[in-house]
Amino acid sequence: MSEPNDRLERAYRSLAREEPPAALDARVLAAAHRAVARPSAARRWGVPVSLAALLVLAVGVTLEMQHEQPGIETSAPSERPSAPAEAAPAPPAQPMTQPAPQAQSMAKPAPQAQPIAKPGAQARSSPARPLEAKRASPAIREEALQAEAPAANEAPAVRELPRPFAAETAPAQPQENTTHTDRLQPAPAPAAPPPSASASTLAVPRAEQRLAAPTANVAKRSAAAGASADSSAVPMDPAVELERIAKLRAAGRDAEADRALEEFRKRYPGYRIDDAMWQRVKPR
Amino acid sequence: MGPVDEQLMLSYARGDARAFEALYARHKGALYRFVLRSTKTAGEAEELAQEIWMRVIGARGSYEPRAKFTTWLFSIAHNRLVDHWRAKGLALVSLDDGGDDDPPPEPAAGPEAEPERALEAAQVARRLAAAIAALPLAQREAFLLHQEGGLSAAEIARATGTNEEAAKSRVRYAMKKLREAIGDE
Repeated sequence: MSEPNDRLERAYRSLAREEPPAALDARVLAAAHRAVARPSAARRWGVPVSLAALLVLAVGVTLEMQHEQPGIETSAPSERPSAPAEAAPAPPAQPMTQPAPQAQSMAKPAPQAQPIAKPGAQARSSPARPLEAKRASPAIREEALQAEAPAANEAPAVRELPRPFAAETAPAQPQENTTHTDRLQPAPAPAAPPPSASASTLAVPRAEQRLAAPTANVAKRSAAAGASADSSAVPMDPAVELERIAKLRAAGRDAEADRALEEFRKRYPGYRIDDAMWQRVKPR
Repeated sequence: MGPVDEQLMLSYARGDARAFEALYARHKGALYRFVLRSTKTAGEAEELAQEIWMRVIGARGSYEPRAKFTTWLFSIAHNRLVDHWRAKGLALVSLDDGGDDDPPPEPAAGPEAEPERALEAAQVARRLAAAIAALPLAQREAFLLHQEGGLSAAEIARATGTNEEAAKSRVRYAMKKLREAIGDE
């Protein structure tokens, strides 16, 4: 190859210098552009498409959560008016342990929107109050005993709370299984009604928020599916039940009325009793 | 002088279409002539050239500059031509020393037959073209790779999958025959 080939090379260079036709050039260059244009297009649309997919997913999950637990987003404002009704069982005990302004502030709807830690703090800070109650006169003690009944009545609602929150309000539970004399002993600190009442009044709305939706959903599903087992377990109309309790109160059958009210609380933990009805059915 | 071929090909592999345009402009003529003089018909040459460039485009992702770009390009062309010849029932069987048995190229006319230099040059060109066409496939390919691709014997060997000595021998035999054809002995 290193031999001198001047004449041969000159002769070869004198041959026609053919070039590919323009059509071939166009086809090849177009293919070259297409080959690298496809990945760049994918890169260009990759991010927007990913964001759109993420947005759709987020909206879908949110809607699904709302569908499953509508109470979380929708029931909070509507629950506020129920606070006086829910806090109402406490007043018989409050004169003993709390000044009136404090009781009013407890009954205000606003505290319900406070963080969960606050009711817990109230429950924890209350152990001094039972001691106050025991130092009070026998007459006041008797009132306290009566006032414990509603507090115990509300305990089931607290018992249905999710475990972490129920743990904070758990001291109210032993009241059901203890005698009156036991409750007056110094040891069980949460025996005083106001703390349990405040805990339950603050806790119940949250329990309602969490339990109302599943209950409603179960009722809807069972009604739709015709599941006789669930639908048969649904009690009678709450309004009718309250009217029955009111009649018991009016007839002076307070013990029956208390039991009925307790049963009512168990059946309808999220039911709001309007003020007029509460005046008729509240424990006396 | 712009970027070397290997840089252009790497740029194209990264998505720079302009790099391919530059690369194509540099080598499209040589490749086309290499294919045209290997196949003898413009239609086949055009089709084959397009397929070769498509293979280059398709292989951009796996391209590694382990050799000169032209070596890589003409190795693709070689492989495509081998397929083409096989499809036509031909085989790249030209032996390095088989030139003696090949049909002789068109005999060169005596210089005294064409007094004018331009006419003589044209005749030389025609004879050379005929001699190239008459070369055995392997010798013709080696010669064209040398002339059009500018490949050395080692690069020809790499492009055609043979050893360097064989490539050198093919080129040598091809040139000997072509010189005889144009009367340059």
